[in-house]
Amino acid sequence: MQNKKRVTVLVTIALILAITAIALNSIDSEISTTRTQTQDHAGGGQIGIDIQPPQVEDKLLEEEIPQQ
Amino acid sequence: MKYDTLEITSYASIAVIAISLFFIGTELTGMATTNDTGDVNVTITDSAGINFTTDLLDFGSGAVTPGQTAVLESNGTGTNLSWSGAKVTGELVLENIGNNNVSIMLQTDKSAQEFIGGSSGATFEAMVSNDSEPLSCVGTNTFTTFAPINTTPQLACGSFNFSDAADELIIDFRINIPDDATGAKTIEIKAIGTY
Repeated sequence: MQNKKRVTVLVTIALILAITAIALNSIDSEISTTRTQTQDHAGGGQIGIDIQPPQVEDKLLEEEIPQQ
Repeated sequence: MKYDTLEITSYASIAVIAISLFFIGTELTGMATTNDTGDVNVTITDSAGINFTTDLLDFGSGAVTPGQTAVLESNGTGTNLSWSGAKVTGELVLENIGNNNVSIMLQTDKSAQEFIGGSSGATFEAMVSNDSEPLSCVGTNTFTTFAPINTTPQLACGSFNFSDAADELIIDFRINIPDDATGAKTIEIKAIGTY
């Protein structure tokens, strides 16, 4: 009976390790030790302006208006 | 010689354990006779993120006084010279939404001449401050006062903080408009965060 318990524990450990080994191999787990430069772009800040033509006084037109 | 089931199972389990350990990478070694140190490597995922929380500044509509060059500044105490339109106060606001300090470069999508037009005298300048959240920016800033901004990326903040209490930059602008420039004009400001 005692032997049966020992074998059960042994089998359990074997199963856990086997699953772990298979999982690690299948995901090919490697921890990257390099750091890459990361950039983020925030585009889209917009500046707007509406430039109207200057209002020029038309002196010539004023002179052409007949005096009353 | 006869083996019982338990014995065979035990040997099989031991074999599986050994093979598994081999694949996992554990090596059996002798008993350590001296103190040794071990290194634990951990990778913490980090990210850079910046965002214009205010992404539009409209200088409105107006005309340049003939024979003059209009000077418009968006900051509150700025000037509004030789311009018939109302004084506009506003800014773009850039926030660090990542979990890293980043350096910030600013650039435009066109030159001042392409933006404003006119025969000559058009300029477009930016000023970057952290007045709203002091200590947001530490390090080199090309735009501590109004300085030309163009299509070439220029450093606006050497270290842009990410902590919530200090992660905001204010970007004001100054435009010089010659009197022969007309039309509706827009320009895009692009921020590049790097860490």
